[in-house]
Amino acid sequence: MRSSGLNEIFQMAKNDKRIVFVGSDLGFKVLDEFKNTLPEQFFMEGISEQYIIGMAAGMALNGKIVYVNTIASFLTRRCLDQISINLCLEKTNVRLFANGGGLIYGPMGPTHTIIEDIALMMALPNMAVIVPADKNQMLQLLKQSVDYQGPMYIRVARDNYPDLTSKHDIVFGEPCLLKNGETFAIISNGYMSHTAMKIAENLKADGLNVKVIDLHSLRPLNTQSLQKHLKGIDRVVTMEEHIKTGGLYSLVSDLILSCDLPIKIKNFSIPHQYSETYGEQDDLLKIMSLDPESMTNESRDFFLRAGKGLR
Amino acid sequence: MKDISFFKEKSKQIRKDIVHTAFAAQKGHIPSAFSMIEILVMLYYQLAKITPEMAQDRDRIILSKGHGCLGQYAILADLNFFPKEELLRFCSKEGILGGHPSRKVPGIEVSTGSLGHGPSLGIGMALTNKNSNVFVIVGDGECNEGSVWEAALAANKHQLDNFWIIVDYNKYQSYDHTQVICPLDDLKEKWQSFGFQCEEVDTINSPYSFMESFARLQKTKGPKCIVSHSIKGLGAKALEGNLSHHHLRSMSEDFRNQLLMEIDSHA
Repeated sequence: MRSSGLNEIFQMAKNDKRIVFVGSDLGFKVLDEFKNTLPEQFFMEGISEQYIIGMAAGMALNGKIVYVNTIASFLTRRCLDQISINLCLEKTNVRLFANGGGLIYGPMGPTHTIIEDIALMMALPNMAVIVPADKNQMLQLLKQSVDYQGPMYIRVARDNYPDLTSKHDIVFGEPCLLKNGETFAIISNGYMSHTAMKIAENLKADGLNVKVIDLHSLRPLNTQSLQKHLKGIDRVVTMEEHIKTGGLYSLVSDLILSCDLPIKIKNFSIPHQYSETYGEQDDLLKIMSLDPESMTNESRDFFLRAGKGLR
Repeated sequence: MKDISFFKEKSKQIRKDIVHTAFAAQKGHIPSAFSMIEILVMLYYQLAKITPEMAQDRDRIILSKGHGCLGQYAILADLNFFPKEELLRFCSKEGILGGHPSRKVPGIEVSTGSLGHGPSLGIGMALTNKNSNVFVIVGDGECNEGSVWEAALAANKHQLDNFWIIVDYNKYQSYDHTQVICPLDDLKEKWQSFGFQCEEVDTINSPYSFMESFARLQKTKGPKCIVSHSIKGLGAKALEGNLSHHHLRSMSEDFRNQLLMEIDSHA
């Protein structure tokens, strides 16, 4: 599910001795070629995330660019202190390449899913936060990550997500306009950008031409570009596979308030509670009414209320 | 090789600099610094290759027990990493020296203070520069942190010849005796069982035996550890083993003078 990203890191490492990969007892067989070809740049460490963050920081302080890969929940929740002090305070060039952010590990339950990873990372100064929507976007952003100064969190996109972005320019820190439109917009990232496009398609039948903006980069973010995209927009819906606080909705609503933009906003987010249900990502999203059909209906209501003058 | 009298005199001078520093700021963890002064002096003035001019090939000294930074600051100032006057601005808004080491300070490799981070950082450095030694000084209380032992497992895995742990085993933590809060015995055996070549030294009665242990361990393969048996506040009678001075909140002129006198009369 994440092999394309790991392979991209491998390809980059071949051409750049500074690039080092650190894993945590994961990726059986997937990484053999990397390990055998570049043994000096490949480290498969134990199940010890706190150590791995410190080790990666130590390597970065010696001039390396370190890509750390393991499961998002352990990578963020488990060692937040190390991330804050060793990566963010020190501005070390460590990239956290995190598998399974959101509900991807839904069948495994709440120890393995994480719906607050972006909030945790956004709370830390100096941390770049990236949520790619598909393989193409992830690979483009990985390429651009090499020269970034400072730590970065990348919530890995599944390889089997359909292609969404290959016809678009993907620029680190810039919003990606997936679909033009007027008056109404959906802002989304990650897996939710796929849903956002479906909803925009569904709403065409209602005569609504909804703009879709993908925010793969939450930090850094060119907010002036985002404001340009929001010009003429009256109502915005945000969609994220994350809790309401500290992620996409927080960022957009803060922008609207602080820049005094004349925009009404509605959010679709994951409820702030531990899931008691197991199931695949799509199953869980449907249970939470975060599936295309439910969100199409709610978005339609929200958008059309504007037309009826019910603001 | 400098002779013992050099280290003795230097240790006294550093302790006095610490007292002046803490007096100026009216704060600082003096006893936590005092328990490892001899070790730091031997490392900085003899055993580690480290000067303000050295670049990548310098040895790394990481004070993982960051609250002991007063000793490191006094030594770095003495070695001209920064002007000595900086010591008198300790913990003030005008200065660069805080209550825990920051990488902004010349000579400080990495910010520490949150305990248990140094060993992992040191392994990352030791792995990516085999030409320099990495010395990580951890406290005994700090050995309560799980991340210390995560790193210990990894140091053994990587068979890091250039990685050193030095435990300042001063027998006290913040609240009470180490033995009461979280016993570490037998600490040497623990490090050995984690794959370290380990020796113990009696820093109270024969501090310079550290050099002999160092020389022996230097010839061995894999990661190394020296457990330095010490006492909190070592080198000034009024501080030794007296936990009430761990969190200094004020220092009178009389107490400062007493400490300076006791440092002078320390063997």
